[in-house]
Amino acid sequence: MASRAVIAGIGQTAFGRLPGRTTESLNIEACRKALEDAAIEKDRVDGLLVKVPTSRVEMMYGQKLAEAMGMQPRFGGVFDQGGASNISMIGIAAMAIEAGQCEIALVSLADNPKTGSRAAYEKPWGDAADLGWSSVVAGYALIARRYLHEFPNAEELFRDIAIAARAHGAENPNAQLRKPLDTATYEAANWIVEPLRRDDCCLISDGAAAVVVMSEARAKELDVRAPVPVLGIGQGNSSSDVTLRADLTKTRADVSAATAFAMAGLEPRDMDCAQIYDCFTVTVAMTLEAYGFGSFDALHELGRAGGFGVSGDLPINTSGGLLSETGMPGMQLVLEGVRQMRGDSVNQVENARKCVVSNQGGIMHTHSTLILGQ
Amino acid sequence: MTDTPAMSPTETYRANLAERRLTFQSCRACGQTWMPARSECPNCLSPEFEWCEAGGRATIVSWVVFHVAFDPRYEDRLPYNVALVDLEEGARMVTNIIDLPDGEDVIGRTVTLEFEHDLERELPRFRLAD
Ligand SMILES: [Zn+2]
Repeated sequence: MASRAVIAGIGQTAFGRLPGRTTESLNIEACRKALEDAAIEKDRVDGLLVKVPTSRVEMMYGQKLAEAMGMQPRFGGVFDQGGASNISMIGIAAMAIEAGQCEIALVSLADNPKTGSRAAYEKPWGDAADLGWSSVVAGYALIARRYLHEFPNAEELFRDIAIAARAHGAENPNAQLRKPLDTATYEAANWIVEPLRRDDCCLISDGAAAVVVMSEARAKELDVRAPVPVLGIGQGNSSSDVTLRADLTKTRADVSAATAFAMAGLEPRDMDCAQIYDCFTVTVAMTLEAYGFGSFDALHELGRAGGFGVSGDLPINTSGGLLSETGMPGMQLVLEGVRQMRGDSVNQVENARKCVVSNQGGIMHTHSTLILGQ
Repeated sequence: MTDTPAMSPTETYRANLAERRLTFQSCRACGQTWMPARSECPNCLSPEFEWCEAGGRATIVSWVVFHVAFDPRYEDRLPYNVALVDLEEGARMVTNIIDLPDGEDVIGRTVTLEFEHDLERELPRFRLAD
């Protein structure tokens, strides 16, 4: 793009069980804090993009939120790709700004399946419902089983991904689950849907997170304290139901990453850390491979050597990810990418200059990629 | 003249199952076969299709074992399996494997169709052939 976009501010609520809060209220808190962080007044915002909550899907949610925030945005509404929506909306905001459709956009996500409805995660599927076919975790288990068929020692990679996320979450005062994980605990935990164990599965959380997007030039004019440039964005959508996907262990994450890396003019080896959507451990394994961070064997070896830790060769999910910080679908990973680039993460990677963030939605139906850097 | 409303593809599929016939759709224009039921060919978008009956042989693509029942009707059946199988004729479906052996990788194994009367329906399940 001719003029770069930046993330000018970030904001979030507490994560966990937040009874008595609507998703509008959570979104407003995250947006208010993101605006404070960017030191931008609300009246300057002319774009508002939001993901519809899974706990209660309703029409015109973007407009309902704008009303609650006293806004009449030039550009705004809901974009629905499940968990991939966050990064996709940051991309849409950047393109809208470049095309003169708005100047300063808020992109926000709130959800409250912990105190509200988690029906979206547990519902029965189609005509096979009478065969007991239900839930998101079972869809991922179907993928994980096939992955284990192809790579019989993948369980060790799943375990090392979970252990890294939980170690990072333990250091993060905002994390919902601050209990580190060890091999014995991982192996002793109950199956949820086999081959996925309890600690392979993300948390269920209430919460919200938001970012302010504007052009780099605008951020300079407004004297924004710590703008983080958006270097690359991309999408790739597998779209078909998991049961119909020709190859269960292939998604369009590779297309999404290739688009983002090409835009940034960078390669996986240029990344100092990665925030990888970890709704389930198998998702991280597949995403890292699709992004070009290495073959299964290389990733397996990296995990065994502690390479996913903050001082490892490929630090991942440095705020704890969905497995430990919050199960909220994806925006928290963008916020952690921004903190790493600003140098103020609680698990700061030394001299981190470039970070890739992945988001995905459904049962690997959608995927989006963001590259941040200084 | 009676004006019988046309059945949707899903209703036709269910009606065939009720007669213990497992059926899939096949495109008259391009020959694509598919499940679950839908009104247009996902390959060439033609609305012209015919119903074909499955011979009953299939291959396991993947399977899972539920240890938590999200569906209360399956609470007293835990643990239970759900599998994904490719019919010999090409279409793919979700099913259960009857008498699934414990601790064995069954991906790629051949299975054969066996209807079971369950939940007040005729449900298409499969059993390992070898
Ligand atoms: Zn066709």
